[in-house]
Amino acid sequence: MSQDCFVLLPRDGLSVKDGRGWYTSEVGRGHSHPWPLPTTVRGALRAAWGQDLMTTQPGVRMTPAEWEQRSAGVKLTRFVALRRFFAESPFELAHRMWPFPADAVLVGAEKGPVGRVEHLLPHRPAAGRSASTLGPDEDSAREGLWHPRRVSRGKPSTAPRFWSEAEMVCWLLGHDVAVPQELSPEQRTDLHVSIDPSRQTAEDSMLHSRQVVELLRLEREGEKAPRAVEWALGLCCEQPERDAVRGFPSGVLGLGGRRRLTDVERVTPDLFACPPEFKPKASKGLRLVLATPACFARGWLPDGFARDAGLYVGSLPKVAGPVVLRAALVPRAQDVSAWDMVKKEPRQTRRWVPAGAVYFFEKQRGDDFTAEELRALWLASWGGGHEEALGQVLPGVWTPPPASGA
Amino acid sequence: MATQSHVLVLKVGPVQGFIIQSRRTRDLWFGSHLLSQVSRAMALCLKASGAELIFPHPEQLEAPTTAPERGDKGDDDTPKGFPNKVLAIVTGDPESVAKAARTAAKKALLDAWALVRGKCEHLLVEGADAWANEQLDTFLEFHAAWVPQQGEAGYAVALEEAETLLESRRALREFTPWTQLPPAGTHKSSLDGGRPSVLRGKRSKGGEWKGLRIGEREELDALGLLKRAGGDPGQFVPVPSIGLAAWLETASKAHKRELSNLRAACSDRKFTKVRRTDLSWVNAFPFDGQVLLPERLRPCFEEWSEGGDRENIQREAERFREEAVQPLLDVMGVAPYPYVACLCADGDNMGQALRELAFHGGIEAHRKVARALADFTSEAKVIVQSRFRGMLVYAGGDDVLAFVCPPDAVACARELSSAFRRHLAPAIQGVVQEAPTLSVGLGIGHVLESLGQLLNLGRQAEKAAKNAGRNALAILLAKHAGRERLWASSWANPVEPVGRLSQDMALLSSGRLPLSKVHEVEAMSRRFAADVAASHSMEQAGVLVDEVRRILSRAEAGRQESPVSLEDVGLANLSDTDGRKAHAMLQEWVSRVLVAETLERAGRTLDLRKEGEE
Repeated sequence: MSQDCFVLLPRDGLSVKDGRGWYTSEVGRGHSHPWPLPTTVRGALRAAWGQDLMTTQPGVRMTPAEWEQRSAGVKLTRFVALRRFFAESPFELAHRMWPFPADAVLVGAEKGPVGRVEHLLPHRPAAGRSASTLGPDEDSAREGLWHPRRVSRGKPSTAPRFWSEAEMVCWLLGHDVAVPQELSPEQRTDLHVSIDPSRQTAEDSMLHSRQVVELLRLEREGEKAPRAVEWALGLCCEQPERDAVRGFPSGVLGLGGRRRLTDVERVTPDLFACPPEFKPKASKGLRLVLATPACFARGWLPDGFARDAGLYVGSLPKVAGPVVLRAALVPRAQDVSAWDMVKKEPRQTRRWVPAGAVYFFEKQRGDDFTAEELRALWLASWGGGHEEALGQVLPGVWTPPPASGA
Repeated sequence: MATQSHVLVLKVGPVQGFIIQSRRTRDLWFGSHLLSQVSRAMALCLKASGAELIFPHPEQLEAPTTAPERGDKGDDDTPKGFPNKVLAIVTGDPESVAKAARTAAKKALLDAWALVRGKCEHLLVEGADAWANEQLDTFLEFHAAWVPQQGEAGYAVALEEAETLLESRRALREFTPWTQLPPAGTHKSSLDGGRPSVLRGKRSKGGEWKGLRIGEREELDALGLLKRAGGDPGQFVPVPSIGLAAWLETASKAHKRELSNLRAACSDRKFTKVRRTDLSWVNAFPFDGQVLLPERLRPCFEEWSEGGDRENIQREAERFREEAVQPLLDVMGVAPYPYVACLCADGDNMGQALRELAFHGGIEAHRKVARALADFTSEAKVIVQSRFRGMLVYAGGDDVLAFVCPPDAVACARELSSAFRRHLAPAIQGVVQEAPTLSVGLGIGHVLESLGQLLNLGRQAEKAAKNAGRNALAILLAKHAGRERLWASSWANPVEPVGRLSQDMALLSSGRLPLSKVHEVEAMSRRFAADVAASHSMEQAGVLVDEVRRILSRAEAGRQESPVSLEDVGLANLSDTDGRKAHAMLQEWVSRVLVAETLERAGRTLDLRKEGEE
């Protein structure tokens, strides 16, 4: 199976429209997701692959239906965010950016805006049912999950969308992390007008706009002078076995709304490897942070888990033996409504667990998660949608609190 | 042995995300009202099960249970806003009480849908009930936590634990995939983007579609349709009418004949009428204020027409402008200023105050606060709608969300702030060290800007008021031309915000401070580094002060010489600061004066409402 690894560098911003049409809450405005979805990127790769195939193999012509069938083998196996100073150096591990994990919370200081990052750690419930919770429906196993809580009071600050490789590795190892810089791609609004050819003027009422995520921009870190930085998408891609195209993708790629131009830079698979600094010791507890959104058959509950005596018990990829789900920090569902390019109609909405969600586990038999298991989990795939790089996880250590009287 | 009592906290959502998904004012109003009614249903259920309600105050539940704000029913008849959190003491089984409240919350939502479902049956696509019901069943995010009360400080300790438990529980927003799938190709809601539409594809022009103002290509899911069709469409005042309220009321007093002609022309064409007999300023012109904006006439006529070709519609719009609109514009002398203020207010230090009260006054102290907040929200409605020609979207607990016309907005904000402190004072006296205050944000944007964007402006301004040390007013101005301007100031400043802006407006309107000088100061200060090195800081400050003095004192060509000093324009402290502070002070001054200029322009020659006036 051939594997192509490359980085996409959008040069003109990206517009990845959500499920709202143009007749939205703001008429004539296209709303963009704040970060491109793996499904959009895979769609663009499938289109590019089809074009490359038809260009490089004389006589090959595909109808839309044939294209859909044959390009289904184009799989996205890795999908990471990258950030570097403009044209600084080839991309390396230090340039990776990860979704801000849900078990980290920014809290304000007693005085002034400077805060700190606090760990949300699950607390073992007190014996008996003296204090309890209730959710939107009946599920005793879910209400029996441990509750992650913070020590501080007050309202938490808004978290940034991403933090850096160094910060994430530190966090996964269970160490404290300083308040991250507010480094995130921003959205801008592009305005468009329709020109009446007969008058050569803008047509009344035809003004429309679309949100665009700007990935090439000036960023200022603290008091330093602003510098140009470029955000990018690091990808690994598999091609269909029988139809592999050499040098795929060739040339620039069209990505997202209006197929905005995206440069391609080759990289090696090392860019997606487990970093050497990640040297966890064996741990009683495991945290799994979603690096990409996850698609589970039952919504928020991971595949392979079932209720067992008031607990959720199941198995994890790369981990020996059954595990118990102790806590879950899951933001609201990410609704994904893609467009069927062949049928020219919207697809059914899929509901994903957003990137950054965190699940906490213990082994059912009380064993440790070994260092080898932890390292093997680096970007392991979990749940469905492997062909879209969904459900890729980052492993973190966690020390469960002792049982009462232990 | 006495039965164990528990502190029970309930919370229902989603709130912000749901409210902000609005295209028409009715979406915004009814969405907010719906959540309020869901909270009310939970509170009523707790009360019926024998629970001792703390938030909201039990007396607040005595308002009517039917219909949202209806002008024809009178102002006293309207239900109050309920916060999305309910707190009670439960003696007995808290789990069964919480479950009953959850059932009541879902029932409130389904009851509202049943009314809309009956009213809109002909608009629904065949089979839509299947996925509509699933959308409604899975919509509410209900969470509850309860903790037993023990010992002397039982209530305070248990409440703190229950709040923490609830926050922790809400870290998991469980969801399931959609199981009721509509036919392939069904479009998604234009408001939500995730939930499939329940509307038919083929639509007639006019009829129910027109009455509900559902566009030809607009798609609504069950929740979207519930927002659009819930309540009485006539009760919702369009945002453009709110933005132009001061202009219209002035017209109704000074130019009755012309305004009456315009009203008659709108009636003749059967334009949608607003029915709010309780609000005199709405009755001055009970139609969508958009018709006063010449560039909007054609799109309005296209929307309201029952058919016909575009050229005819354009001719009709032009005739309407010439015969009905232009005569009024001519006599008024000043064109309508098409901006509106989204007012977002939130209490400061409420969490800390409630903690202190819990430990030193217990349940009774909290009850007093609940009562005070209920009184405040009642008065907030009077302040916004009767005294300041605005529309209240929501007032519950220490939160207020409203739209007001810019000329009245600042005074309205101050009166809300005063009312908040006045109502809270007796409830916290002698216990709370730092009395809660109200931070108010005013986001000012174009009346045709999307509701989502206007709300964003309001929320950003509210955040800026909090960041300015709380107990503050912040105004974020987003005009079509030019960049956003933000100015924030504490209510406790020696020259408080309303007074400061009034002085600036007087300087601007008298011509003593031409706008060109303000822009010149801004351009000049931008040429200097904001983060000047300490070694050059004092020198830079000196240069900045001299330059500003020179610009202010220079006579403008063609104008009478009337120099103004640093003191006159509120920059007296400029000469005592270092370079960095002087730079920041000038940027802040420019924003403040430009905000004042917009307010002055919006209210020029109009009859403005003043604080304390009825």
